[in-house]
Amino acid sequence: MKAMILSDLIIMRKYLAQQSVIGLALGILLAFVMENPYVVSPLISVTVSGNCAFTVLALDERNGWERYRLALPISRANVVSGRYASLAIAVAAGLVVGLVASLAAMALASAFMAMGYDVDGVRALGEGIDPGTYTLSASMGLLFITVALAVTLPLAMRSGMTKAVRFIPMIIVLVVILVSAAIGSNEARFVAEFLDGIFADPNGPAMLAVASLVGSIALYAASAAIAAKLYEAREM
Amino acid sequence: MNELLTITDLSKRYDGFALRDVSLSVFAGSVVGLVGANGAGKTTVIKAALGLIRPDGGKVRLFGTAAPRDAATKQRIGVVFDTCALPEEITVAAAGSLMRSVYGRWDQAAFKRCLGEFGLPEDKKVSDLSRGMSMKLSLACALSHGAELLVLDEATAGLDPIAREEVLGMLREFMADEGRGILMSSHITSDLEKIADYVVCIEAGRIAFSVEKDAITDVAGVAQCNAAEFDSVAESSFFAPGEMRFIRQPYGTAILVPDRFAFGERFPRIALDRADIDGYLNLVLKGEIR
Repeated sequence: MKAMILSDLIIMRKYLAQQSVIGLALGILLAFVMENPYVVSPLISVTVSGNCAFTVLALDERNGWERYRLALPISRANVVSGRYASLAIAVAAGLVVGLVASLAAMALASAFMAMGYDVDGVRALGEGIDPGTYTLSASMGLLFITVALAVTLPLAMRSGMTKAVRFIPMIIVLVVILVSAAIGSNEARFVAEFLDGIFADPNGPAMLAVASLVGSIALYAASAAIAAKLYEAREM
Repeated sequence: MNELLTITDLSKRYDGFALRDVSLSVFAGSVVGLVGANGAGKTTVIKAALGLIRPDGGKVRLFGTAAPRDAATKQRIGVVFDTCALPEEITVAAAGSLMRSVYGRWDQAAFKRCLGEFGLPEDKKVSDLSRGMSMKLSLACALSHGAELLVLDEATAGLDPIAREEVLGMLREFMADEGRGILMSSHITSDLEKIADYVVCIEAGRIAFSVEKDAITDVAGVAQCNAAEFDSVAESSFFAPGEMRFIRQPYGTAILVPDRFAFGERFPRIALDRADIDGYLNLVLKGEIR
């Protein structure tokens, strides 16, 4: 697994560095444009880690690298576990970039306020954040990218990224339709009530963030187990 | 002899193609050349040997007992495919780092020596290497971890004659250790004439012939006959029924002669050339049989 992680990181490091710099600049800009420090972390973490993940998956098929890699002394199980681990590292890096971008935006806003630029947008960023709500927003970003990877990776492991991308739009459309239908129905009123309850409790956002984190990890692990089974049967 | 790779009755079926009952061995100290037309099944055999596909039937054994999917076994194998399969975006030096992370017995000094001998700049990206250079990089990776068996799939294809000669030189150096062996598929039969010990030909998914290379290049011959000479050979008892292979040409008929010395004694007036792998292949695969 270590060899697979290292090989992925060697391939990914350039993209990760590029995406981190872009994500940092974009995050600061977004924070000021949207006048909201909570959106930066999920947006940037999803953008940075998603771009890295899909680039690495796409590069697998270039030049027959994926086939050659299986001719190297890396077992199929280690290819899968190493890939999930290296993409988890990319996701963690994305979260860090998101956090740094939010902190930088807040520091800049505070500096602007100190210089007398006390307008609404700057004040929204410069007056600090609620840690629980911030953690919840970051965990939502984590949940989003985890779901995307948990769906994509088994498909990519089974059929390769080129074939997998044919199914991904169909899955996204299906999810959007189901979610829209659920939100539009009376039966989904409990979701709104649940969220109202969460935000009414001072510890609610942090508790939901922890639940989301646990759910993300469980989903990712289940996806890895499925991907390992599928990859065993893959022929190159 | 110590068998590095043993393939027994290998079968694999795809839509429109089937590999059937293919058996071959690579012994320590030997180079086995795999020849055949495009789509004949050479790459399928190599994929099965490396555990990239699951055979429908038959067995593949590496180093006596190991299965081809075993990662520890692959530490002992060097692989070069028909294109440089390393990620395009990494540099030559990063390719070395990548291989070091994969191979337990990676020899960085040997890798650097190969880079020097091949003139490969470490800071160049794989995507910027010419085909010849990228194939040399693949070979440098295969030769720098103490492999005992090299599996080469069209590794010299697309290389100029000088680069091919350099590659063959590296392979000869590799074979200086008698515990090592090479399985090498190639359309460039002149390369196999220079380095192979055995030639295995696959045609339409089956073994067409499997012979020592010397039986082709040192013993066999091609007789060039006019009509009268052909008739005299055909009516003689030199060939057993069903064993004479020949191709009619505009100015005569070429006959494959398994032993050109015996043939020369029997038919001293008939023009006789040494056989080469190409000619042998052509007569075996496309010749008429009498």
